[in-house]
Amino acid sequence: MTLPSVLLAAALASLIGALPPGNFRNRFLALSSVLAVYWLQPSSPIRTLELWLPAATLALTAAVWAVTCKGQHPLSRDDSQPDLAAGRSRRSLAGGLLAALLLAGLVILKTPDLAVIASRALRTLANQPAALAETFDIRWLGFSYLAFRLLHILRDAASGRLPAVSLRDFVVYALFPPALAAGPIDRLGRFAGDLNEPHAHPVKRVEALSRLVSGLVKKFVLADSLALISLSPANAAQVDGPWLWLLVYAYAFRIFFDFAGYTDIAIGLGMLLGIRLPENFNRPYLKPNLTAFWNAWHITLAEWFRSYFFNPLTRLLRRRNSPAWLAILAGQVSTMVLIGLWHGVSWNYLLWGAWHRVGLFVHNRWSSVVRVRYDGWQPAGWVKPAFHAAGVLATFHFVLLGWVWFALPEPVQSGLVLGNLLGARP
Amino acid sequence: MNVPAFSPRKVILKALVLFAGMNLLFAAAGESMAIGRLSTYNRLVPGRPRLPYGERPASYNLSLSDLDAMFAAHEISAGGKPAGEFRVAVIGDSSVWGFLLDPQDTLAGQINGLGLGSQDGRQVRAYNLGYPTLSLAKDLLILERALEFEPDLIVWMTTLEAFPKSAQLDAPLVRQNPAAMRELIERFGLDLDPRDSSFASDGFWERTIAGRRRALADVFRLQLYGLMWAATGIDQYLPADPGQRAEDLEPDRGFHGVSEPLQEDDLAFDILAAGIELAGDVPVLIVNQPIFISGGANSDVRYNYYYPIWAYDQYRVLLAEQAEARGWAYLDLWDAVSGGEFTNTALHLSPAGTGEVAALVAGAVGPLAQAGAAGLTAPARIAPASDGMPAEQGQTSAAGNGALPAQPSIFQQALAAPSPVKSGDLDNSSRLPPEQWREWPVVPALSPELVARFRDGITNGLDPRAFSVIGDCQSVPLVFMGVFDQRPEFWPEADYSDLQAALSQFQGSFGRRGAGVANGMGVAAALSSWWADPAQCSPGESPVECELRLHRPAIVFINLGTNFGDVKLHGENLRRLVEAILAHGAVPLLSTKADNAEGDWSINLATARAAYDLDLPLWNFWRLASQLPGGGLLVTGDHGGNYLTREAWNVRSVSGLEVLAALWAQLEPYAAEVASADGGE
Repeated sequence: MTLPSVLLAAALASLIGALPPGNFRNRFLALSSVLAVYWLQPSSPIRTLELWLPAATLALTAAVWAVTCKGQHPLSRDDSQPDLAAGRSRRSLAGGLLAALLLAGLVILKTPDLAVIASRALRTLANQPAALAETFDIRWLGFSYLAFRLLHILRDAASGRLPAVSLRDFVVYALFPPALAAGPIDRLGRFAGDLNEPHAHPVKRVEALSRLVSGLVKKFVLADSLALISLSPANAAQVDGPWLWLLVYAYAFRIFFDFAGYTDIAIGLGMLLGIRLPENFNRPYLKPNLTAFWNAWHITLAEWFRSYFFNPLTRLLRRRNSPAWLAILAGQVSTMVLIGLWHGVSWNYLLWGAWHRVGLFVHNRWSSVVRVRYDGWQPAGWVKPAFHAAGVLATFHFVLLGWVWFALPEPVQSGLVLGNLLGARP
Repeated sequence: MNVPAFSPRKVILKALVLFAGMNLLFAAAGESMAIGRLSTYNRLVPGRPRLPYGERPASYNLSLSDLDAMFAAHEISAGGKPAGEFRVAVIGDSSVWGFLLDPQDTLAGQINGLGLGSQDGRQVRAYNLGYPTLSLAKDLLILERALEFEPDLIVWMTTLEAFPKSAQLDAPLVRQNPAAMRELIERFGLDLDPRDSSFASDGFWERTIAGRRRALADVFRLQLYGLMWAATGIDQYLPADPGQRAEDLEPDRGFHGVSEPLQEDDLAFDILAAGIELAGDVPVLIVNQPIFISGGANSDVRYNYYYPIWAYDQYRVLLAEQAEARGWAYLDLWDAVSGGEFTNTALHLSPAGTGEVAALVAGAVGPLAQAGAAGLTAPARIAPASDGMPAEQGQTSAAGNGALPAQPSIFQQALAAPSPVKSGDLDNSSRLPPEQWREWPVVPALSPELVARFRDGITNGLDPRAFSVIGDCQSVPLVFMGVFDQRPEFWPEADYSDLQAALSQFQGSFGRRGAGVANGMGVAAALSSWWADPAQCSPGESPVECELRLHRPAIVFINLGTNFGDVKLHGENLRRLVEAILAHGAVPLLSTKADNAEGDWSINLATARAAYDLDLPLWNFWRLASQLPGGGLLVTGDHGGNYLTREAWNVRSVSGLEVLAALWAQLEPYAAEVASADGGE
């Protein structure tokens, strides 16, 4: 995403948003979404992949719609009509296959070794040297987010919770340009409501422009500036002592401003189009505990995992008579690990997820103890704010140190850096 | 409660008006805004030892065109000039900036490492103001800024590639500072077009915030990089494989589209003159920096990637003539550094090579610093320079500018001193014991055995017209006798009437840099194949073996001892060295040194012992140098007084010639005898 492209997108969004709401505008939006998939697709060293990846995006989108939302009641549970039941069964199978395909795509793209193998295969097909295959050859624009959107639809469809949506509206939802590359991950039902009852009016345009400007400043001024002094594999080996803390602090704020900036830009563009995308950040570094932090950081991703992984898993385990604490522990551990691996299948992301899992567990235990011990305690006026401040500082620094795992691909280097930060220098 | 409605149109309009207003104010303020002078360097983070330059984020550095910001980030801007500092500004190109060098290994860094001091007790401190790109116009811009920091001396390192008039405006720094450059063009009447289209536009729009957004962003980024610079000390990305300067060259005689022969008007001497005029009372030492001299393909056409031979040779002549005519202080180091010390280009030097240049430049800087700019009422400029051998301080220049009145130099006084300083007995039979080496004559004699050895040597193919030197950096031709292969007007003032025979006989050996001379050479090194120059020596050859093979000298100066490891081993290795030369058939000529690096003069004693035991000639240079102020040595700190002064260099060169002449006077009859026996060849 570059500044000129954002400004161009804002101009286009304003124009489209100015159209009278209705079928014409929604068709225009759908067409723009399809074109955006091609326009925003990054270049690839593999010949014609820039054409095929967007095509695959469209194909997957259409296929998921066909399986889930086509028809008035795509997943009626009325088994009294054999044709409907048979159709449901076929669609269920197809849905399962599509879900497997999406998950397989995620695993392949996120796992470096598998990505190289896939690149080799594609290069061979394109008559290019397979030996030159590299991890990032297959740059599929927004696949992670697209996959999660489509998976949520497949899951909701299987649960019978999905509203009927036209292909046009479905395409706009799945490929909504402002959120295509970096989220937030919206829900179809909510999105379709905004699409057909747009809220755009002059006041919202000002708010949209404010969010846009805020996002631009966060991304292109703050994040890009902090990138110059942020922790990286190169400078981690060059710095120690207090300067290392500076690098880690810079990284923590850089990653926040970068991601939050993207979100603000997406939300601002969405507002210009009359769509209010969900918030993804709510002052996460000012939260007094880790649970609150995860309710305020990448909110849509956390909610997705909570809805489509943690809750179903814990319910499953409870149905199998697992103890409640075990069900919750297993759910939390696997959720945090998966959140880590969602960023990339590598040890550092896994360790980052585990770091937060440990932190959540500690917080969970601490909360239990405190709740029992201090039940009914009415502290003096300054105590609560002091505790709150201490909690904010502790949480922030726990998250800060966790970013070391995230920033450095080699766990050994991360360990050394953490040791260095805490005073254990080689 | 009713929230008052607001009009988004008004909000946007106000914002636009505010933005436009700020831009107008900024543009109107122009140069006085000087945003670049607001800097975290030298306040929150240390100043950089060289001007910001970098093309990769990994260097924690960047290239920008805001001269205010560049100098504000430099350590030279750290507060006022200390009272005890003799400030030297070193300007030049990427070789001065220090491509592939750490800051302490740059020219300025190594000059500082020498710990020079001025006569008025100030510490010489060199500041690296080099900047990549080759352009005298770029140098002039930087020089102008440098003067704001009150330098006591400017060392202007340059090379031919910076001179072509057609290329002066190619440097991005020049193009991006059109106002400053135009002012200089107008002020000095430079032969450059102030309306040249290559200048960056500096209209009204370009002076607004929006127009200067890139420049302002660069200044901001430079401050952020300051944190990384302070944290890591890294200011340059050093690639794993920077590549090697081209050895094989194209058979291309072209040089910037200039026709042969090179004319004065082809080169930007006016810019050089403008710089010196701009410097005013501040002395400027112009140094023609060393270049790589290739021995590969087409090295008969070109010296290196940059220079065809014809253009470079003519440039040197033109520059020397300009310096002489205009009274510039000028030092020509074009071939002062061996090829092995050049790195990725024909101009970039290794730390060792830069150290050699630093020592040579220090030789010129030192006396100026010792004279002291403070207290002088006239420009303290070195008098018109010779080709690598500046004449003595104190001589007036033809251009004159209130220069100091001529006085007999220390060098002349030393040479004019009566014997026994200048000459001694030509008979070793009455040689005093080694412990009394101080009283040995300056000029030795040869024993009959050595004379016979010489005769056998030339009979067996040694060249009676060749002598070699085995020595360290103070024996390179530039400072030891090399001037005698130049025109006589460049020779130090002395009486050469009795020396003509030697001058004629050994012509070609004086200016030759042999394989036996290297920076840091010691006796052990001279015997070690590790120190041999791979460009000219065979595998396994030591420097002395290589030199003996290549040059087949009949006489070999051994000027070693300043660099030594263990004194006892020095004595043993010296004897091995002598034996190797004797085995070759040549006459080894030992010498005493002026310095006392070992603290107890034991090196000179060991040398005297070897001469005594092996009945070898000993040139007692120490005895001559001891008559000079400070024993002929620079007032140094870190090097403990090991470097000779410029006067001492000249004394040593003339004395070396006298020794050579004395020996040749003894040997000539035998050489003639051998020649007539060979049929008069």
